[in-house]
Amino acid sequence: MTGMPEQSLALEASGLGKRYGSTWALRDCGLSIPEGHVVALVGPNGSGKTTLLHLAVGLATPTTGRVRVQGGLDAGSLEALECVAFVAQDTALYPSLSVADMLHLARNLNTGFDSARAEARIAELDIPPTRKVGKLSGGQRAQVALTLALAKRPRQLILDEPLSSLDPLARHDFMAALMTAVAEDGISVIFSSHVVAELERVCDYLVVLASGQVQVAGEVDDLLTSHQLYTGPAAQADRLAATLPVVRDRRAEAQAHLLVRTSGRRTEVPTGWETHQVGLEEMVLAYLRAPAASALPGPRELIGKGARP
Amino acid sequence: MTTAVTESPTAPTRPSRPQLRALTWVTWRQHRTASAGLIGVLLLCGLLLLQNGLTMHADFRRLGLADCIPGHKNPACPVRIDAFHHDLDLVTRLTAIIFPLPVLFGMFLGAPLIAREFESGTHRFAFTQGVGRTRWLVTKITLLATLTIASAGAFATIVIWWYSPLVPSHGRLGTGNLTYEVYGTVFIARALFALALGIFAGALFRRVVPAIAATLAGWVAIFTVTFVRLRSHFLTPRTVINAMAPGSNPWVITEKWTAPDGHTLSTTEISTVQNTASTTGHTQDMYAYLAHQGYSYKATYFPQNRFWTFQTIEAGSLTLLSLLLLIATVWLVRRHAA
Repeated sequence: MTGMPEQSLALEASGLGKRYGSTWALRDCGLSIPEGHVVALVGPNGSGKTTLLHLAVGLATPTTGRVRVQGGLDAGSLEALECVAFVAQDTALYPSLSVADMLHLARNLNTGFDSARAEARIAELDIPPTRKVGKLSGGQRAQVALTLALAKRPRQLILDEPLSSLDPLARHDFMAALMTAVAEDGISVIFSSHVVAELERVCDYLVVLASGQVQVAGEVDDLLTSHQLYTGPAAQADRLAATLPVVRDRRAEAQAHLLVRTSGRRTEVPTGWETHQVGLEEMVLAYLRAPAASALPGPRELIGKGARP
Repeated sequence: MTTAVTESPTAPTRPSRPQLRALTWVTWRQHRTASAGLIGVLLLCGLLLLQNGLTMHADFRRLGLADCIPGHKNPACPVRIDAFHHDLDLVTRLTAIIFPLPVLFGMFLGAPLIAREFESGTHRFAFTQGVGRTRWLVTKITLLATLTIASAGAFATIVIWWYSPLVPSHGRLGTGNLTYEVYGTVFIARALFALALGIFAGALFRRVVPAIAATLAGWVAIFTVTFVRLRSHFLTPRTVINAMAPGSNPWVITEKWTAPDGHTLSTTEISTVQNTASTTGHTQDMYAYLAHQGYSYKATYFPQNRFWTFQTIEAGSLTLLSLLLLIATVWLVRRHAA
């Protein structure tokens, strides 16, 4: 890896905040997501996911701080709009236009739009080009939106809740199409989702937002190795919890299950206790249930800083 | 390491932005229905004018009304003018029909332009394309303004032809004459102003129906204020003393009769004095007669030949106002943060 240029960032936010009226939708958000990842942005409804993504594509302007994409381009600048494709929630396509017209529209609004590729994909998906976008099924509409976004030949793709209105089959097909594109084009992807199941299969970087603040951010592998489930006697649980950053503390009768952020360090496991790996979904849910806990790796050297109580 | 994907975003050779032709297609595709509807309405009204105009022009010639301009001495005129009454009624009615046409540009072309994007959420698509929202908006505004000016201009030409025989006899200027409102550059400028107002209201309210309502209300308000208050102050009127305002159909702004004792006559007193004057046989120059009696008359007025000056001032102001609204719109959309 010697001689490798400083890794450029897909998304970089510092002190980023957005206030609507008197409510902060996003507050003091700091993120440094390297290029080349498939990033899942998860969090409950109203946690600020859409706000963050809208800030990243220039649909909203920050109240505080700044956000840059794709190696330092100001979010929403013409340079950024050219290399970052955005698929809005519920696709935001024109329902009264036919698929062919929608394609033509997108071609005329972008330089270097790959019409042939878009048309081939639409044909492959068996979507009649003459059909109105409003008459398509949710899955088809999502596929058309993805097709338009990819035909821009972006270096980064940002999708806001692409799966929320899709049935399981359409969801599977959509993710398959997205993953193929990632593999073929090597683009960075950031997508938001309030569905935490099956994230492991699709994303390799995770950001958890809660109440407008970044709670967890990091590569999935790192996060998984830095969290352990401690199972042992409930009587000793308090003593153990005092020495380790506990994300979730669940006790049942004599047994305690502590989800601990070990920060990757080998820690001495007390006698009478067992440790297990945790799944991504379990970990995410634990964080969502414990809004006060956080795991923010930030710059690498800071890994190891314990979770704030 | 892959070195293929090292194209720097700040490379000097940036790809050119989508060309005007591409954005023209976008504008046409998204606004063709409203444009076609508006042009259809204009065509329909234009046909009405054409049909009425042909009849009216023929009647005008047949009756020889060109000789019957105010101040004529032709004894046959009262009968001829009477025979023309039906045509004049139709002219008044058609004027009322075409009067509101310009506001339709604002309500159906202008107001939805931005409001519908926000209302349906499609601005999230439109504003995140490579072209950028500013160029998208400026191109759309330019093209739709051009369309508005061209179609309203074509219609105004028909109106000018339609009304042409009546210009010498009825004039085009004055509060009692609504021709001014549907004529010439003012008609075109009102359409442009409506469009700009609609686009601006759409950017402000981001909802189609409130934007349409605001456009209608704003347009009517500007028209009313201009008609009732502002227009007579565009220029300094001429003054006439102890004589009738000269020329045919002068637009009289103020009139004042003063009695020999110095007090200003009320409307009823004026008619009494005038009736007395006419019964004593001084119909030919009542003003001179009454002046001799010690009354004095003072009026301010605009002659008909100031018509195009008024039109130019009003159309120019509306165009300037439209430009300001459009600049404000671009500013609003650029700084918009949903």
